[in-house]
Amino acid sequence: MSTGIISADDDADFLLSLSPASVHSALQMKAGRRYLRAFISGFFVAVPVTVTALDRLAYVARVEGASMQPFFNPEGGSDCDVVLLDRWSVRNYQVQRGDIVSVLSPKNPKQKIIKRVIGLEGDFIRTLSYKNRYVRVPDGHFWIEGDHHGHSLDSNSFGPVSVGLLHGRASHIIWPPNRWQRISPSLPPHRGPLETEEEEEDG
Amino acid sequence: MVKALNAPSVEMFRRALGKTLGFVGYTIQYGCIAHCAFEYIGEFVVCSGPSMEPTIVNHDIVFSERMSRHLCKIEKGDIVIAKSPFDPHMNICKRVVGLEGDKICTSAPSDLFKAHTYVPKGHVWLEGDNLTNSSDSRSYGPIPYALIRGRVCLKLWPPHSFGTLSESPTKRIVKNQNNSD
Repeated sequence: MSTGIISADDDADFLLSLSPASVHSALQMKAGRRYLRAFISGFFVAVPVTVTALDRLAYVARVEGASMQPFFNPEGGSDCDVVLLDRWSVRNYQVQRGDIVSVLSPKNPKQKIIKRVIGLEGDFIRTLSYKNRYVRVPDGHFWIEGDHHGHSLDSNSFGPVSVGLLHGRASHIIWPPNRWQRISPSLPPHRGPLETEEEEEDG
Repeated sequence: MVKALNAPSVEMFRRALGKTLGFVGYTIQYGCIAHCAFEYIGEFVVCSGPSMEPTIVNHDIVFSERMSRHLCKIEKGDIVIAKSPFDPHMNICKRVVGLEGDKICTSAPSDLFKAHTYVPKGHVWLEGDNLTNSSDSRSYGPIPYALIRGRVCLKLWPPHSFGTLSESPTKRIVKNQNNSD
């Protein structure tokens, strides 16, 4: 690398005596082409790597709305929390009760919703405002609810959600910095599957 | 081990390390490019099972493109690959019979009284072409649009049937828009 630069300088010194302006522009063009090539190759490395990392490893997202108060957006208002969504740990669709997960909305495929998992497949759930009082979560589904009951569009309105819609698991609150924390699974009090209410209460 | 190292072996070690790092870097780069291609352009799928029988038979290889799913351009009559709502590791290949808001006839053709249902918002109604041997939305109801992975646009194997896929042999798809209120 270093020898290449020296030889280029030698060439320039030699040619400078001939016609300085043209040599200067030629050198500039050479350098510009090198920068362009470096930029393009870097672009083709950086974009796929970034996209893949966002798809497979982790994703950063802003939480909007009041459905997860008081855990996210406790003050309400315009400032939104930013969370880190762990996508690597849900690659096999493994979640546990109490996890906060982001799910592609069954109502609107372009929207993602962030809720807490209350019940997994086979659990019996006492619903809050669903059409049936008690529901058995079918295979390959889970029951998700927002922490802010009544202000949340969740399984109480559209029923159990297919696990295939799972997008990520919220693992950290990144912003605001004074509430930076790791999110550990915890079920809200008096919510959860009916038989296993005594276990996993404090995660 | 460390004592035995001298200058040429250190040089060799450095070269081997550099080669390994370069190899790992290229692997990551091409892996990421492959991921992006499979995720956003399309993928090859081997179909199995009888549910799409006249159109796609067992062990056919099809190409499914992902772009129209990301752009929400799935239309009635398209054949799609979707995640099974009851097992996310399994994929199903069905034909879209109704989009959100469409009216679907759920009763058998021989029934005297016709039963209808409306596809809810954000959902699609999937049916196999082989109506007698297919478990689809007629048994488990509409599925969310977001479970769709891609639209089958090309059949690659066997070679004598290479090309685009034919229209639905069943007369289940209502093209007219008189029920879109």
